[in-house]
Amino acid sequence: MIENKQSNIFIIILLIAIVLSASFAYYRYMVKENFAYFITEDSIPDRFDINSYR
Amino acid sequence: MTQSILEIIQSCEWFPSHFLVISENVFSPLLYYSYFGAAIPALMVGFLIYLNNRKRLENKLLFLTIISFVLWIFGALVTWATEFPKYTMFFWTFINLIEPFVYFFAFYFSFVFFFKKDFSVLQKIIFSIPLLPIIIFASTKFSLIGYNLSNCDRNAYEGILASYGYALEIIYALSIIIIAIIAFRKIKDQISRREIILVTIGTSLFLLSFSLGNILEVFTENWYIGQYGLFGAPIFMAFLAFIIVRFKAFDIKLIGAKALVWSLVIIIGSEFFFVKTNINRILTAITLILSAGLGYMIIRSIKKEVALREKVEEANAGQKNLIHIMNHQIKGYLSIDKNIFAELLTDDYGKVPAEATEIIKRGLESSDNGQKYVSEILKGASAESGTLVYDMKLFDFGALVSGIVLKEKEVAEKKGLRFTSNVSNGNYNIVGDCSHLSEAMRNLMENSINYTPKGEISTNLKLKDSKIVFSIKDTGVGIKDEDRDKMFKAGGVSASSIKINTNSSGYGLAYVKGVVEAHKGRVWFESDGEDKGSVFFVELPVK
Repeated sequence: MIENKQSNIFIIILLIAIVLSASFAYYRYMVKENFAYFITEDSIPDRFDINSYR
Repeated sequence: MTQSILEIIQSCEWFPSHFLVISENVFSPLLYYSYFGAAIPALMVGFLIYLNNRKRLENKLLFLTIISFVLWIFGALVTWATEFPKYTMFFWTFINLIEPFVYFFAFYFSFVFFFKKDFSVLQKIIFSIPLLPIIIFASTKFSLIGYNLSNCDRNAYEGILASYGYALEIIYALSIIIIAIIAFRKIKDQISRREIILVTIGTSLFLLSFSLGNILEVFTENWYIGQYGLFGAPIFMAFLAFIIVRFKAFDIKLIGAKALVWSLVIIIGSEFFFVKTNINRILTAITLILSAGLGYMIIRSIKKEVALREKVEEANAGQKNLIHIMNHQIKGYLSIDKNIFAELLTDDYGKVPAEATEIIKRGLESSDNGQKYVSEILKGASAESGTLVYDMKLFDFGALVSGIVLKEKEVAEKKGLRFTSNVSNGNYNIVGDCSHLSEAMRNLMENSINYTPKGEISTNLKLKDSKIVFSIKDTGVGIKDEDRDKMFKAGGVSASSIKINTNSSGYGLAYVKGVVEAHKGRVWFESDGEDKGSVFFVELPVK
């Protein structure tokens, strides 16, 4: 049976990272509602164009 | 949110959602609600697997794979159902974040399962580093650029990080196949190889179908396709079922009780969403606590019962095995004794004195009886356990019975019994093992003769509803009610028969039952009680 503390720590680190990342997203989108609306088709940026992220 | 955006949202006239996931906004309700069918059992199974052995790494990783998959399903359901853009943005981000982890945990699980070892520190770093951008940039524009209000489809626009995530998923899925090939080549044991193949097929099909649905959805912007992405979920469930059964991930005997208790707790727990008053909430809470407590006690007692039964079964199997080995050995020794006695009687080793001849004959007879006795036990035990080998051929069962009747009639009449037989006209051809059936029928007739001190025996062979029915009736010792259940069991000797035949092995009728049932037939008896005789019936299908 494989069990060790190292894998537990590794899994806990991953889970903490997920929770932290999701918390940031929650704060940004749910609390602050900080995101862009695209009202027309033309205003939607190309995801592969780096300028879209400025 | 500006006034103009609010006006656009209102003009879309989206339906309100309830409990985040129930809504009329979904495109294909049947397909949408089928997600629940994948998520709920997956969650229950995953949780039970984890509880079964919380320390085992494979259990933890499988549980994490399932949990992340179920969280993904929940997030996807919300994005399909919600009428609020902020919910769409958050849950969409969340599913983009959790999705690569489904693949990562599946990959990690596969590695541990195939190689029976954990990742090294270096492997942990190498394999998890690609997840870092997903974690760091999840709540940025790189994940979701914004919310699309150009139509009323309630969708977000994904950034380059989402494409990176999909690429990563494909890499993890392909890595599972690669490590499976490496493990397959490294491991020579056939059973382990089969395990590797099955787990790889299950995991890969599930993950690839999952990816394909999502990727096609995004690149074609056909959101219906995404709903079909979960067709891999049943494969995943089948894969889980396989793991449970094949690898005994948890005690399958307890699953019924566990599922029942969990369902009850979930149903009672869900009452909290509907009750309005505090009194009702308190009552629901009490019911929930009582149900959970009682359920826990029930599962514990069943667990104890199962453990006890397994111990008994184990002991029985060991005992059967011991009997088998001992009888084989004894049969061997008796066979040697019999040969020695037979050799002595041939005068090959010089003339045996007349006084010794009698005792050698008795020795030969005793060895012969002993050998037959042991053979009966061995055959009875084999027939009962289904390990007898049958040579199935077409033959006339009527002719076989008639031949045995002729011989046994002679034996019965020598004992002073009246023996009658009746064979109705008909076709008695069957496909079966002539030798074993012959011995089974002889057993039945010899039993009747042995256990009938006086009176008569009658046999009857007829066809009834395209089945052969053989019966043998005697006026013998009969069978007591309390002996009925043990008559066809190995070692089962009735109280009345032991008075007559102290050497009965108790395996004769077990042999008859085993042989008849192997021919898709049945055997049973009728008796009015002790000293009232008995009738034994054998029913066999005609060819």
